Amino acid sequence: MISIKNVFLDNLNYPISFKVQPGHCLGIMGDSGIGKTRLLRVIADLEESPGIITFNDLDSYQYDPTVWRSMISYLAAESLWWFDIVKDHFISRNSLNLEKLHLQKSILSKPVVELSTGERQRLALLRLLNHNTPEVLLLDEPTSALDDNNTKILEDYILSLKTNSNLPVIWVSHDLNQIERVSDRAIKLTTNKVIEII
Amino acid sequence: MDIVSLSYYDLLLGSSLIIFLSVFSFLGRLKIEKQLLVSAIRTTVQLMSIGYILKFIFTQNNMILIILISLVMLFIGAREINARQKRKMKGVKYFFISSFSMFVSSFLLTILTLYFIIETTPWYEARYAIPLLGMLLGNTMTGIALSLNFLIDTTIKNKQIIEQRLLLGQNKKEVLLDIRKDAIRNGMIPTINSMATAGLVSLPGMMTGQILAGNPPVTAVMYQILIMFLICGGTGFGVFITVLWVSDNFFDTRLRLKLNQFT
Repeated sequence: MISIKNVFLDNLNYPISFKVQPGHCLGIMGDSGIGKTRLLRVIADLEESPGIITFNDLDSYQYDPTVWRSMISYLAAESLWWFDIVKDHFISRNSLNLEKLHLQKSILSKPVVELSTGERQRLALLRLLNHNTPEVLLLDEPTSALDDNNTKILEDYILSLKTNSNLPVIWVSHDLNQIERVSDRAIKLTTNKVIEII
Repeated sequence: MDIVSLSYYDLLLGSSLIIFLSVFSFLGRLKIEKQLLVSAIRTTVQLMSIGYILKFIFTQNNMILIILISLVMLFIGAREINARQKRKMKGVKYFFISSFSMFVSSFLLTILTLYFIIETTPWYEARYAIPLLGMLLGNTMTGIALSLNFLIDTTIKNKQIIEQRLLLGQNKKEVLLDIRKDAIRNGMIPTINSMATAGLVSLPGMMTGQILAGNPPVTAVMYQILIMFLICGGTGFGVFITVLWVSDNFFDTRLRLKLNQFT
């Protein structure tokens, strides 16, 4: 279980606290700039903020930061690439599950500049799973660049991961329909209070 | 061999080039005439002053005095490294890092060279020590400043990429590997290039000076080769230490980027 306790964000007049049980998905909505991404960054320990994040009753500070980020796996909204060729971003090319996200194996040999935004977004999730051993998934608009068909494919893939590996998932989205489809519980961040929407 | 001394009139003739260039700059609206004139005046004043200071130090040949002036040169060099940065480094820590790397790359190297290679008596002989240190400081300072500029600027520009790599569980060494390598290369390339073209495209300044002063060309060349090896080694060590040490400070203890220390 991941627990967020008394985390303060600049745009909110109150501390945020919530828990996500294994195998459950918490949807988070809110206006642009309210601090949804910032909250995920704080949970992933990329930013400092007052408050305590615990995983399985251990404080984030009790883990080495590389171990923490490998467990609390955060998929950023925009995927960035630093090598020229796609495959160089993966440490092992076995069991990448490309086909589950409707991607051809040949895509690995492509230069990154030739990828579409949607391909990058799907590959970024596979890259995250390839490097990390997620115990929690933090997703920031993971389907923002995908068409309806690919959105459904990616949602199903993440939900199967959640169920099969019993992962707590925190899913940020602007799409209420999506939040309703994927979340077991959902909240909306506003300046003065948290609104429970599911 | 007689040395042809230069008079103030000769220097005035030489300076006419700067004046002509300034006029061209003014007419062509290049807007560099002010910089040109100020830099030319600075060169004249600084070099004339150091000429008289060196004359005094050479006659005294006092170890304390030599160490004092060397330290002043070292700290000015360390300060200049920060001054040359596009993104300035805040805090005394970076001045200390620059001073330490300049100390290793120039100061220590000069002492070792005087003691073990040139073997002057006494080892701190001002006529050798000061010019040697000056050449090493000037060249290693340029290399260190170049590599730091690249390191800090590239890291700031690639902040998001570094963070995405951290999110893949990578450590400091992994996320900075490429930037560090390129920064070291950036600082070393001018020195390596100058070694590769020495004698073919350019006659290095020190060698030219010695020949003009009446020394046999082969002696001058030997000194120049030694100096180039020292500059290369000094720049390499200095750049290496600075890049590793400064980049190590890019993160806090939780491996979060803290780039607000650069303006």
